[in-house]
Amino acid sequence: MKNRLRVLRAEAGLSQGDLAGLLGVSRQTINAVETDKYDPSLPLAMRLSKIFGVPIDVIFLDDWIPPELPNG
Amino acid sequence: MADPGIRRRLVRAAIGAVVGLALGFGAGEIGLFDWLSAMPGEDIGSTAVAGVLLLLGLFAVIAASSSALYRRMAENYREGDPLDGSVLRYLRTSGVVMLLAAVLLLAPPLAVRYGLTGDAAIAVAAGMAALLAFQVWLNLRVMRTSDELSRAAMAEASVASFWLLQLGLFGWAVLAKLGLAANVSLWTLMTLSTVIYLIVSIVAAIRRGMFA
Repeated sequence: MKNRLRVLRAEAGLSQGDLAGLLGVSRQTINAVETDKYDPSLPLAMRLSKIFGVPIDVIFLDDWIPPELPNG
Repeated sequence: MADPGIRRRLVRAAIGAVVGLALGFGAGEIGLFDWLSAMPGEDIGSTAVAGVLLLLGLFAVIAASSSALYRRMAENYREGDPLDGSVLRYLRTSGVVMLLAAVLLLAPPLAVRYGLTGDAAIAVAAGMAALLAFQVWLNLRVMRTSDELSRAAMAEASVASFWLLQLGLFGWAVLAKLGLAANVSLWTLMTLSTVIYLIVSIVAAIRRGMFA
């Protein structure tokens, strides 16, 4: 899934290794998310959202438009 | 001027080639190849796989013996990568798992080669069962302490190799049933399944960027 993790991390002045250390994952995990090779689990996505203080959909970009609800 | 990373890799490849040549020459001199050629093909195959696992395991255990050594030896290490005691312990345990896998692959052909039959074979089997139980326990520990990217790559490799092996086994079994292919021994199948799992694991790890 496309994401803005690299931009947010750079704005926060963190290296991939720094962010990995904060989250308790390997630097390769952060790199894989940033390069769109791996979609993180929901708990990891939530932790990323808490670290950067932004909602998950500001980090991960999804262009899916939901259909209208039957009662909507 | 070549990229320093590429230059370093080329230098290491050249050193590896010279060391490999010397080791190969030495192995020939002490009669290792004559010793190997007296074994059945399937045993040569499993011994070769065990050799690869032995080298990978030794590399992992030595590299992860200290953070300074790991920084120098690990190709994918970048300054600032998390490298505390628990990371090094995880890497060492992974290395020990590979070393034990090598021993488990080597033991049965060697036992046959050295004529350990009857009661001696029972003792070898009992020893292997204990070693296998220990290896499975360590493997589970590695799985539990891995981060989610490694766990995802392991799960992917397991699923892909299961389907590949199931498909291959079915195809081979059909051909053998129809008399179009030879029957193969369980040891050959086990060696093939190990090789396929190793290849699929490496491909899964590369696809997920684990060597980056």
